[in-house]
Amino acid sequence: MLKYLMKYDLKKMLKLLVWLYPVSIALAVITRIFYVWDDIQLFKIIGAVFAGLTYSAIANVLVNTFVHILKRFSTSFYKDQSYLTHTLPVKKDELILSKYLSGLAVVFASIIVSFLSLFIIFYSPEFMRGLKLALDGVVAGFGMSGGSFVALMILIIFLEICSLISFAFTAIVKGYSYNHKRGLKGFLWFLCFYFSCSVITLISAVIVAAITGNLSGLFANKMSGGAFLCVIIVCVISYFCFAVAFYFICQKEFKMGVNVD
Amino acid sequence: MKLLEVKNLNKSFDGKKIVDDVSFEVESGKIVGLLGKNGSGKTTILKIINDLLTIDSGEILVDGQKVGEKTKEIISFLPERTYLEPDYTVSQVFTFFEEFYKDFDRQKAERLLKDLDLEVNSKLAKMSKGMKEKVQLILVMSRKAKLYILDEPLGGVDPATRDYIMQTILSNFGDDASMIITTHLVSDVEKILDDVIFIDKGKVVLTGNADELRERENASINEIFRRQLKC
Repeated sequence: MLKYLMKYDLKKMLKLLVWLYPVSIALAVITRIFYVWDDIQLFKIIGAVFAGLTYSAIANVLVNTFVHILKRFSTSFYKDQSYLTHTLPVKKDELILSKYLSGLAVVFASIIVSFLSLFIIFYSPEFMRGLKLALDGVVAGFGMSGGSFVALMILIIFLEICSLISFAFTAIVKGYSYNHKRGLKGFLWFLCFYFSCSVITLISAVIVAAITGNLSGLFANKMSGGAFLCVIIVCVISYFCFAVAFYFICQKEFKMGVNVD
Repeated sequence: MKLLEVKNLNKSFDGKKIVDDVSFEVESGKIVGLLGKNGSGKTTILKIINDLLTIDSGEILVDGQKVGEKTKEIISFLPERTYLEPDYTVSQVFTFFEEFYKDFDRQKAERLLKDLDLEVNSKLAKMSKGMKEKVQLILVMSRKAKLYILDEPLGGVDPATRDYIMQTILSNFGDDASMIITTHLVSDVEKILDDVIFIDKGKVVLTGNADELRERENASINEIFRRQLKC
């Protein structure tokens, strides 16, 4: 049943995004065309306008991604549609898993589209050389290449997004366990989860840095390679653990039963 | 054979008891009327049976099993709310039901749809509330379920269509299946009821066989309803 659930979840989450994705890419292509002829002043201005539109389209894609993932979760489980969702002969684990997997797939697609749009606007051999030089400057002393640095950053961003989705889903389930002001209470739970996990990550990074003798490097003007590695490792482990732990908390809370309006 | 057993069910909201120690049973092959005024707790009981609400205490067994994905395979529930995705066409909703319910009969659904003058390619967003309710009724009655639970099936329907709907319910209801039907339009359903359960302020106030009650009280179920539950 999971594949059917995911089919309908993806369809709903992508409803608006399937229009926004081509818009974002098309705007990036137009921007690039005008950038090619940037020796003509008028084209340069038009190019700048389209660049602005592309950035807002990318922002729109990212914001709408989260809005639609969360909206799908709450309407499917707690609004009118819940009368259908909860009466389907499907395990509750599968209902939750479908929302998670669909949500992650949509986040992944939106990130790809955003990067692709930026790539279309900016790609040139000179730009890539400049970017590499800038990255080498940043990672000098960290003992890693620019490519590894970018890969690690992408991994951390992805894991942070996973944990944010886990926090948000759990917060919605917690919020709807109350009889009144469910939206507000859900939002407060989200803030509570987010800030407490951020503090735990920070404290963990300090403890790991202290144990490995990198504490001074962590607070130096230019972070040392060892301290940077401590932060990266702690972030990867923490975000992964938060995403998994909150997925199971959400599932446990959800299995205790719902109270739909 | 008992198809549904509700034992000492209790549910409160904000300290107010909505369902108060409710117990009843539904036998296989029976049509049971769950009758009560607005706000008496009928819908709450049906929502609990369908896993849409948690309980404070009590037990529900459907075909001997606790409420879960197995019991949902054998219950076909028509809620008061319109739950269908407005973006979908009727055909897409039929596909959805085919994918999730093994007992859904698409041909039967298309036949019923035709009888009610509805188009299979119509978009739900363009339908009136009454039309959507008809589509939901078709979806529910096109399943070969063991237990049909209909919450106010005649509520939003014009009087001219009510008779057709009653006929649809009866003609698509298997001999071995059971049905729980709630309504405040008692006179419209009383002729099809085998058993009745009167609910008032979350409590069962009267229960029994419809014919025996009529004979004992020398009145129709509608009259007994008015007498029992007068304000």
